[in-house]
Amino acid sequence: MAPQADSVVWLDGSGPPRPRRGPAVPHSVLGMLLVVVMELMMFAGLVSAYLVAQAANPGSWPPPGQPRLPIEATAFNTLVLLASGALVWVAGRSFASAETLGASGTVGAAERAKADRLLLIGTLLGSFFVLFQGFEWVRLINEGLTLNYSTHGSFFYLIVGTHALHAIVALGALSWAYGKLRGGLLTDGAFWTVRILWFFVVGLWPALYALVYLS
Amino acid sequence: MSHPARHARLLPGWLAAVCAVVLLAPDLAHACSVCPLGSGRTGKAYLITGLLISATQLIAVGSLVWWWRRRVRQAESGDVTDPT
Repeated sequence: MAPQADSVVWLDGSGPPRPRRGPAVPHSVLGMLLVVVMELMMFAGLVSAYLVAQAANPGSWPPPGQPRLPIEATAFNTLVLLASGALVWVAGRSFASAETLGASGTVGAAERAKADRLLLIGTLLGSFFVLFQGFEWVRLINEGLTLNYSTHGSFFYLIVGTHALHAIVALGALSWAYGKLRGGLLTDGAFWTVRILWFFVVGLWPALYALVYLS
Repeated sequence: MSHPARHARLLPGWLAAVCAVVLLAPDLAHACSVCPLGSGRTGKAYLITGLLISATQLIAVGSLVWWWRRRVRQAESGDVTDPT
């Protein structure tokens, strides 16, 4: 039986031209999604440990004499982080529009400038979130809530600190993307990769806030 | 002549017996240092967190595979716009 025409491969490369397609999903995007799945499992493990420890200490979670966690201030900080996520989302839409329209046209250039501006503001808001968290940590440590104070204190620093570490890494990636965007070198796939990490950081925080601060 | 794999056992008999004992009576094994605490509130927490971890990984990996397959199908039909 003769092979199908589109499955024939000439050894000298003289076969019929076949359209060359890029990957269905950019490799960096797929890689970042796998990283996010792994990180999600790590946080699921931390949350599980927290819930078990909480169940094992009924009536003393958090311990009665422990310094109070800044619930209201962190609620405000949560809103700041959510605003940052929304701005980065809109920046991505504007960037995609600029890519479609072409940056040389007036509308495309305006969209690119909008993406530039929104990404900068979103990154600054994210940085504010991390700095505010650091400020709250210093205040709590001064009040006596250290890593060794109680099991609750240990979990607080472990879970919130792990999230802050992810936020710092994601902010570094956003800053890198901003630099590339300013230089006109940012690709759609690279921007998506960075945004996925930031959306993970933003989307995870409200759940952690509800668990650690409100439960 | 029969294939040797047809007669191969998944587990040796003694190991299967040990596994059955561990599965049916986990208290005997004490595989987890905190399992003896698993009663009442703590036991419920173990159950909930076990479900949480199991569901999280299944949903996360399942969603990723589903989305990736959808993207591949879109790419094959030439209907790809952006990575979302």
